[in-house]
Amino acid sequence: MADAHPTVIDVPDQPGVQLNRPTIADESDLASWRFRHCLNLPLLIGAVIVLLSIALALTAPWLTSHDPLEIADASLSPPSSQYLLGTDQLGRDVLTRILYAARSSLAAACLSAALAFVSGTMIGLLAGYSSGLLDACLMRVLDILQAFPALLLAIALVAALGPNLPNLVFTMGLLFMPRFARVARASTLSVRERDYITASIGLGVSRARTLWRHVLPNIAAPLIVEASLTVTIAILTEASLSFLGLGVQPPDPTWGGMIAESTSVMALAPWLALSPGLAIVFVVVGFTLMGDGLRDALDPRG
Amino acid sequence: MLRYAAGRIVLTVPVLFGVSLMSFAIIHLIPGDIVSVLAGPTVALDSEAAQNIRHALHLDQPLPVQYGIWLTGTLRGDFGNSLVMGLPVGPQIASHLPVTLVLTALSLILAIMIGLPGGVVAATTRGRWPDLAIRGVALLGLSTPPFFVGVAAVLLLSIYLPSFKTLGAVDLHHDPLGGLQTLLLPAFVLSLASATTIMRYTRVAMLEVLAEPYMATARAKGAGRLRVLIRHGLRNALLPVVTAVGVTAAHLIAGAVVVEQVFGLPGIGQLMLNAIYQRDYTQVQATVLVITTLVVLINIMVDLSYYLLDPRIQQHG
Repeated sequence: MADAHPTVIDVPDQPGVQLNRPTIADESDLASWRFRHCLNLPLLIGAVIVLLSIALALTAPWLTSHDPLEIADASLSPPSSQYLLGTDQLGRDVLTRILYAARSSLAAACLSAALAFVSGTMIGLLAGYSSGLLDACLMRVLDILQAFPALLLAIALVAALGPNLPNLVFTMGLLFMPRFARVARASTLSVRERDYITASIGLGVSRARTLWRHVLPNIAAPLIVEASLTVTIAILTEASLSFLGLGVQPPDPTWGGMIAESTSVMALAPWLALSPGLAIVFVVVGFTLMGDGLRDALDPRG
Repeated sequence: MLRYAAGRIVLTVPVLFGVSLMSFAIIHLIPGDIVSVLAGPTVALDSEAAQNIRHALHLDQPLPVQYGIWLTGTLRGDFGNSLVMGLPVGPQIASHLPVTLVLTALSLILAIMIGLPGGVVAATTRGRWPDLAIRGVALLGLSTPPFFVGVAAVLLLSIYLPSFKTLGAVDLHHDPLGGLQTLLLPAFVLSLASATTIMRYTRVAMLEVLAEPYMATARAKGAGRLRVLIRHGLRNALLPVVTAVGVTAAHLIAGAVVVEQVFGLPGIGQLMLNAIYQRDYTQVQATVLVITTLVVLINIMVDLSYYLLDPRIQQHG
């Protein structure tokens, strides 16, 4: 900021008032500050892992010559050049099943986080901006939802609705919605008092437009961080549910389901439990690092 | 203290009411008629047998009346009869609850024993290798699903330590020591995620406290390093740590459902899962309600412990 000398402007009645007007030098400083703060190591590693996982899941059919449901002659064969991670008790290729399981796991996690993000943000904006009775009612409903341990409610709801991908997305979206609603509400409460919101209202801008154009962009940062961390919890929840037999149903592969199936032949084929477990850890570490990195990058105090 | 406690408890009544409403509502989300599930596909839905089942379960009453009947029964400790076994659900829950409670308590103790020192060490060696190592392990602990750790632990122990009893029945009543020993490994597996959370909170809280001037003052007046760290540092960092402990205690009870399944432990989580697999809806309702009520009670206790730990609340509350 060495070049940023204050611009002196003579205001008619108050000569010599100094205003800190941003200059060109300031802006390039700001850009390099942003660059240095946004690119941290956890964010970089996390983003690489996340993008790699998504790419592997999307291109699964071209990466492997096997079919996830294809049954080979060789059951429980150890890792070999033909079956890189071996085969399970029915003779299905483990690597292929892990790649295909990534599709349902990532889809369930990302879609439910997106559902929670959108619905939670809308509820939080509404509660924080309107305050009063509506705010109190919405918050009590969230209290009740959050009183349940998330996994417990997920188990009960998925069991009642029926275990399939849409119901998983709906259930986890509902469970994670309060997290976004609370973050959005708290941020809205502080943003609401700012001068630019008062100015927007004073200019006669409609309430919906004020929320969309002026409140939402200013509360986006903590919500994005929350989204990244919610995906990690969603992946772990989906894995637990499918381990318990309440995820996407067999014969379609899921990481949790593969670990559950492997327990009966554990002594014969230990690699069966290992690889899907490591797949979960890999993806969750990626999203966690990305979330931590995003928080450091977006936190104005950082 | 009493006024504060009473206020906190009164505030949870509406939450518990909502929880009971949702536990009740989950059953009515099930598509189709419960009677066809219970009586089997051969029984016509309008036959006398079906009508009898409907009447016995009060399914012929309007929903609010059904809820009222269920709630008044539950408040008197009568959770209804299991649809599959025909036995009352209450005693079933009572016999399965101790295993879950001991498992949860044991893993909470382990989580604190791992997380608290871990957090303090990480904070005092900030940026150096112990800090980085502890945070790396913590990242893995947070990213690994407990059932995977459980399966891996059972596998490794069965290969390298065959004499260690990893799976099987727990009889806390007749063989408390043996029961505790069987619960030790599941408790450790269950505690990992919580230990990580407690570690993270402790580290952040300690880092803040370590920067306080009174820490330098305490050192300057000649107090020992360890004494300063614990008496002046940890004591002041404890409040956010208590929050973490409370939050994780709630997670532990839900996580116990999965861990009990991995290790075949006869706890309330296994009771609930079996009820779900067998479509025993009264049992599902009751177990969900009991577990959630436990979590709500834990949260009250956490709030009350703030009161004991933070003199500022005592003055204002």
